Amino acid sequence: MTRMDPNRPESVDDALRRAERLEWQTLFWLVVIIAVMGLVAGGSQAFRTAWMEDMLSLLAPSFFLITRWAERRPHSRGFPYGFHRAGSLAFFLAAAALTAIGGVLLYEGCLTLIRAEHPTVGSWTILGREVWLGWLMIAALVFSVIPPVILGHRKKKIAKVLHDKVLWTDAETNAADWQTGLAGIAGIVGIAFGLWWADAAMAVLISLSVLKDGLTGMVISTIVLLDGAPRKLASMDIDPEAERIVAELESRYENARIQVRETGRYFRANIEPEEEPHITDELADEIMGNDSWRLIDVSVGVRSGWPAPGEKRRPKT
Amino acid sequence: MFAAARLLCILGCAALAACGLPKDPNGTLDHVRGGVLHAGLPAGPEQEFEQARDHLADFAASLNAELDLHTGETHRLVEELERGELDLVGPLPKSTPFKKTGFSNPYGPKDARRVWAVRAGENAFLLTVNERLVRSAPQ
Repeated sequence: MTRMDPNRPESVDDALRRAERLEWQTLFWLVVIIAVMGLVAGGSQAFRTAWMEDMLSLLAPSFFLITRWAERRPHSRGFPYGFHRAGSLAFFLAAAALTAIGGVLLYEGCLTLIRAEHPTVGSWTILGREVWLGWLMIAALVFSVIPPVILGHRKKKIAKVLHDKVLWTDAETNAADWQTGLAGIAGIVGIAFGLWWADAAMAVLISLSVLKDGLTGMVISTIVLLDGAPRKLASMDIDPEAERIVAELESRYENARIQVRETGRYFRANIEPEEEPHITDELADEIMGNDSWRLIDVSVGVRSGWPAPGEKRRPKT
Repeated sequence: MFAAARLLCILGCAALAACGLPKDPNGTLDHVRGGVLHAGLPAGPEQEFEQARDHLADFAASLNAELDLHTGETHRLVEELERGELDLVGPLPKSTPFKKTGFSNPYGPKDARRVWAVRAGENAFLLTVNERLVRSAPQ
């Protein structure tokens, strides 16, 4: 029985453990922040949008931790390839949720603007005097950006070591949380100055950032789920490491098309005879019955050395 | 530590209030103070009505405002409030179904909580209502 959790350098295992710890801390702080914000949530659309965004940011850390558990599970009869790609699926789901809710928030913000609804923000009796809730909401927003921004910057560093797209995207969202906080505060300060539209405008701005995060995540996870060439951490450019693998293998095999893809945090390369991209009908017929057309590819893993660079041997088929 | 935070909070709020924040988008507080308070008082049992009227008169006096009292059916009064013809309508039951207005903090006995309705978004005026009208309400 093969081990599904591949060997990794100690430094990578270390980084994974630190990432898990930071994600647990993120979850803890987000729950505290969501509770504190819920306490003072009032009529401001911008504040409620920022609050929703914080709720949505629970998804990525949760999915990261679930993925860490899932990807270590051994392969089985039902899942012969194991669960390395659980993270990509989770990433797609989180991005889809972000897109959907970002869209709803955008719609609500626009509607508030169009209907010219004036946000009403009341007051609380604290120590015998009336305190306008807007000030408390601003205090909550200031508090709400501090833990995510600190955690976000720490997670970014680890994500670079791990080449982990889920962790990177999550860290970037956290690190950019101050922008959401600032927009929320601007909305409430707008209300304080009697500018009712400022609040809805900021809500629209925040919802646009949620929507953007969602759409970017969908594009990245779609590339991974469709076996696209591995991309760099923070862009759509093909990862130079992956291109090196292709170049190296091309220099060792002739008439070969090299395919490299990413399953979870690992690269997988495939050497395919160029003239015969698929197995012949006869071969397929030999081991399959009626539906032999469905069997198009059989691969053997390289385990015992390759030709020297430039030697250009034909792949054994 | 807590005392310092408390002091800071009180000073902060005082400073902000001194700047006249929050402000009303439609300037309700500005035209009521030293001007006229257009208030809607729903028709009801005589004793309750008179108590609320006196309460409103005291509130208007505290703002040096003349009280322009309208009475009638709650729905109509709330509609006038939404159109900006009134500044204040109440007292209404806390579970009031109206959605397009702002509401004061609730007051009164547990089984009969009351609120005042103000125009949506008139936050300075609402703060004043909470400060002077709600907190001086006969319990």
